[in-house]
Amino acid sequence: MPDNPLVIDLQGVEKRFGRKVHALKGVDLRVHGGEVFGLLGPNGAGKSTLVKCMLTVVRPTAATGTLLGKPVGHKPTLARVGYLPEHARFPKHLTGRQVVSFYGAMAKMPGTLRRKRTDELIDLVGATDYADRRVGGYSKGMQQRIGLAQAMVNDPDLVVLDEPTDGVDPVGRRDIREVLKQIRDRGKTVFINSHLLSELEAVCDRVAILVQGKVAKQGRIDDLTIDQRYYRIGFDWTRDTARPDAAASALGVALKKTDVRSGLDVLRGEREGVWFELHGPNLSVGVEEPKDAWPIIDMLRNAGLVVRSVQPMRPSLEDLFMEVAEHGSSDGGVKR
Amino acid sequence: MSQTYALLMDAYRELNAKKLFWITLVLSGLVILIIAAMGLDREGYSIFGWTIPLPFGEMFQYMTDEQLAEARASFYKGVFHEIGVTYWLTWAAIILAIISTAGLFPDLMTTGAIDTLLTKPISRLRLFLTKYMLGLGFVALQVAIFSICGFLVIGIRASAWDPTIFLAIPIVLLFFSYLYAVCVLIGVVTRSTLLAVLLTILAWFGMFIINYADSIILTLQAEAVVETEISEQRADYMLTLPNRPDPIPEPVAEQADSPGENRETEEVEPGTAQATANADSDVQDLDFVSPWGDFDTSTREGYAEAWGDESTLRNQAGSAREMAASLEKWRGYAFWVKTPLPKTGETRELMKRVLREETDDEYFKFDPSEDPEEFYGDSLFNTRMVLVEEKKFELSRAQRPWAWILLTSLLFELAVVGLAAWRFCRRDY
Repeated sequence: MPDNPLVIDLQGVEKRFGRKVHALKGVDLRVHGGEVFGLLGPNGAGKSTLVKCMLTVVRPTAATGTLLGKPVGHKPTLARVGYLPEHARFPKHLTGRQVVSFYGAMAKMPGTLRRKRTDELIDLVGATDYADRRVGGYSKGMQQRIGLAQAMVNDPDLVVLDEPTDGVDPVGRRDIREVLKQIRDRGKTVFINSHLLSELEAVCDRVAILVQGKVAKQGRIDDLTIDQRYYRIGFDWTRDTARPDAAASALGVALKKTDVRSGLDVLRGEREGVWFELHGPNLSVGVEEPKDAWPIIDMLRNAGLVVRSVQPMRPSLEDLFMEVAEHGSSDGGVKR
Repeated sequence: MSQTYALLMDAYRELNAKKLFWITLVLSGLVILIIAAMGLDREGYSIFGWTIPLPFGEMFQYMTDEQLAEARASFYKGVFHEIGVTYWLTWAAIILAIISTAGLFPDLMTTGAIDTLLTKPISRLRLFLTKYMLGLGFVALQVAIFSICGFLVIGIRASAWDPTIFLAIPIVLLFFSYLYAVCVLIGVVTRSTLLAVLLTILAWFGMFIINYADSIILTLQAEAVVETEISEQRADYMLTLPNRPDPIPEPVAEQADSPGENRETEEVEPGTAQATANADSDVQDLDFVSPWGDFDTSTREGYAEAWGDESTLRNQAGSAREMAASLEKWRGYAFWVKTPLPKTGETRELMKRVLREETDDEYFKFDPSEDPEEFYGDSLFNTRMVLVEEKKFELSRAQRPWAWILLTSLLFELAVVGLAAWRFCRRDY
């Protein structure tokens, strides 16, 4: 994917609302063709504003870059883009089928093709049963499915989805995930803005984390978490080492009780640049290579502890997000 | 093109879903039905078959068929203009139209709705203008249906197939477009349908107040001008009358004492209007009944007793002229106040102006050599109202030409719509 041409290439996107609100403070963002890209960030980070700047809904205070190879703001290019906004509201007097067809016409699709695509997409998003009812009577989930169909009706090269699974039940979420994968498999690019980290983790190739109007992290999830890989060593308690501090003693580390995982009894400590975290009969060790864990395993065994498992671990997207959201990132850089 | 067609279809579906569109159409049908139910024949006026007794109703019995047909056509056209255009289309139906269309822009600009449209390859200005034109189309459709029905009713009921009826379409559309421009601007700025309706009606009320004040000044000025003209005319006419003869000694024997003799002494040329007037007064009853008492107005003294002597009449004319000049100044102020504003009242009256210009203006012209009382019959007092109306029309036409009405109003609309379009295109959503 990184070898594919850039579909979104934004540089220095800045947006001020009046004099007080500085929503975007120079965002650089790159999305390659054919990938599913996730934009994360806490509330008020500027995610929706960034998407709106990209799609001409909001006028950026400053921005350079391209969208599908054309300068940002080039209206004809938007015929190749599909968009589902957060809290989408469609004309209540139209049926679901008419909504999809209407937005297809607004994207300058010829009538015959539009009708064919509409029928296909209604079927694809599973809205056939209610497609001929007025959207005024739809539930949130039904509206999102129709919204997804309208975002794809013009067979866009780039699909931008703002909270696509908002209000959708678990079955619907799974369906939407499948649809997104189908879009990606056709070589299209998907840009998702969502709070649901697990959803993103399941479908995204790359992510960017936006914090206070700046990109704090950007890249593949694996790459972003490479610095935080660790090993989890599971062992059994014996009578002699029944106290957690026995493990600490064996390691020669002063473990202190922390409240990082609130409600759980977690002990943390550090020695020679390696961090340790003891959580019940599991010891997490902040080393990247397996061989670096061997001396630690030996120490545990010498102290009479029975090692039963050693697992390489990676922080989840949620862990990454929480860390960035809480501490920010000084690099703000792009990993690949 | 597919975008415009899609927006048109969307607007049609929206209108179709809005009950107010159909309610307005049904009410329009009722108004047309009422106009069609009105009648005019030799018995007088009627509605739904019931004849309305009027004091002057019998005049239709003495008309020829052509005169009656003409009266019937004028009647239906007048009713169409007064009830159909003035009260229905530019009053009640306009309020319904404002309520129906006020939500177009606030609904369009709702977060979640506008985003999707703006990310399509359509410019904001085109989107704005298309929506704006569709709002006007709502009213155009309503007025067109109403006018076609009115045209058919007048054609069938009065055998007068008058295409000037269709002037109602552009005139009502213009009238609505001024208010709609204000409504759109408020809707775009506030994104609130309720505020758009309320503030538009408030603005309309403001325009109505200014129009009303202007209309009062115009009426007073017209009255002053008519007063000037009548007083001058009376004074001029008085000079043509003979002096009252000396008391005739008994027995009366000499023809020279008759008023006709006196007129000859004033060397009136035969064949002139004055000669005709004198001849008429020879045969008329000398005891003219003025509203203020019985006077012999065939002599200068008698006429002076009835209306005042020459200097009094000249003074009256002078005072009235001064009053007219003063009011003219106030109308000048009103003119400048109204110039930048939309001319709702004048636009509505444009149709009347067109219909009026078709009539014979000569009917209302004074002949200065004639006795005003003779010219208008015994009811100058009542006729004065007609004269004032006529003078208002004349003054209005002179100071407020149609080009001023239309161009300044359209400039206002252009400015307001331009401001709304600028706001719509520049704002963030």
